[in-house]
Amino acid sequence: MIRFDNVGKRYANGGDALSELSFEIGTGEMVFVTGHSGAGKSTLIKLLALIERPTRGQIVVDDEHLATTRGARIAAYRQRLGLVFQDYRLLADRSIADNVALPLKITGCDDTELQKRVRAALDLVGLGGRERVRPSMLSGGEQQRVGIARAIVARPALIVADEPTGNLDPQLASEIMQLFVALAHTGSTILVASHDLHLIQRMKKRVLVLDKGRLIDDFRPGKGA
Amino acid sequence: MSRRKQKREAEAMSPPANIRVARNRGLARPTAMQWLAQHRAALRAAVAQFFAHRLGSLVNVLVIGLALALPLVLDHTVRNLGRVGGALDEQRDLTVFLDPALDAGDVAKAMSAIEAVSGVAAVQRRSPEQGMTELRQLPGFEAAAEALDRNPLPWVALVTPADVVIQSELATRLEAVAGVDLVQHDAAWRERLDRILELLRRVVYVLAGLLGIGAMLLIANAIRIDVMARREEISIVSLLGGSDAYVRRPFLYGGALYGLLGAAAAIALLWAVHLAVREPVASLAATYAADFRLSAPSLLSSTVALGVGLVLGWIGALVAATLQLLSDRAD
Repeated sequence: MIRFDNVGKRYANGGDALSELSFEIGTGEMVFVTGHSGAGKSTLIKLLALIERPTRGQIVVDDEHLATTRGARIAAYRQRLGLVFQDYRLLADRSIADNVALPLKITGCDDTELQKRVRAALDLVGLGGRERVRPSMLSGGEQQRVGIARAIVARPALIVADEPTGNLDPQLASEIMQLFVALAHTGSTILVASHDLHLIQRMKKRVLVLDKGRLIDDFRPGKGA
Repeated sequence: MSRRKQKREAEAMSPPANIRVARNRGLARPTAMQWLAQHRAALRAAVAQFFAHRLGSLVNVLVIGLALALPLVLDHTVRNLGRVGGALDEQRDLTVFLDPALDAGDVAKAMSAIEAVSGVAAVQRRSPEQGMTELRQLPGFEAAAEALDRNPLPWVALVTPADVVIQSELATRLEAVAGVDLVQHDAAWRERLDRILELLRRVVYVLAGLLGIGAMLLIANAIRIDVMARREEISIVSLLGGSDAYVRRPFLYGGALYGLLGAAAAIALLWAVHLAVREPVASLAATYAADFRLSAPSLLSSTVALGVGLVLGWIGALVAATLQLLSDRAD
């Protein structure tokens, strides 16, 4: 599903955000990426979302070579992704239902199916019945849940989440993680960047540990490092 | 929420495993109906955006309308002047005045000679008495005619030229006939009018081109500002898989809407000008004893104006949105 092959990313200021990064993630796998601030978690997410391009190496997602993906294929690739942003990236002048519906509108989903899926996604993150509320009326945690609902509403093959539980209380964070686990069981591949080690430990999933842009550990539960 | 329930709901969100690989990709290629639905949504978004900034949108429409109105009004003027020329074209007859001193016998000879001139299709004779009767019927001339102690009007021959004859050449031949005092024809004046009309037509084309470009730039600027104001939204939509075409679409409809409404405003202005000058023009024509009335702007020209406005708006928006998106991407 995802293959990083000796990937490096150097920014214009000369700093290496990622170096010699190689790993593979299989379909339906749920993987955490962790590390200190500046370890390269966000850069890895940006590379997967095609916000940034690698300066070295190859990234292949489901047969899509991201280094050569251009034009309309970028949009088509992103439609297969469910992205959860650390800063939510919600449209303030739209209701949360409209925000969640965005990926479906982009793909031209019909209205009946759209309504059904949006309601289901909001129910899933515990925001059912609040469809018409604007994001500004919600707490940070609730906005994050809207972002998660938007990421899963189009049933993406790959969900990439950047600190999705950063603003959630432990109980809710755990519930959201269980939701990701459930989605992984249905075949979605999940990649979560998080620095919440307690949460990661509780989940007992594969963990990629980054430090200064390098992969220093690929921990698989039951197999050790 | 229990874990079991959560898993059940997650499964409900997902398709069966055997179609897992194809999921979402199917949605990436919308059917014709879905494509139409996307266009409807883009149009709705454009209209909503237009009404969200009513005052600004209205000012833009009026400015675009003014820019498009000038060539429309000029074109309308030229078309009506052309009708004046056309009316003159129908009056191709030459008026030949005989020498007032001729006696009846010389008049008959002169009339016969005129009928024999090459290029003359028909001759209609008017006696001095007929001329005086016509003069008396003209407003303001009755008293003047009464004051005359004798009829000073000459015999007149109204000459209808053959179709292929050049009027000025025929006039020269008629002037050479013995007993002819004066030959009056409108060719020179009409040629001058034709040249003026041609010049005005060119001016209209140039102005229409320049002001059309001006209107397009106005629309492009309005759309550029709109794109800049919605940068955040564009960035999010793009990250969620919105293609450039999808992102641009509401702006294109917005530009087309500006162009269409601007053209409608221009047509309204044209009608206002037409209604304002219609009566004065008719009154002016009446003083020349002419039954000339301004023709109303045609449905065809209005339709063309609306179409041109729409296309200009679409192109302006396409250029502005594309350049702004490229510029944002480069940033």
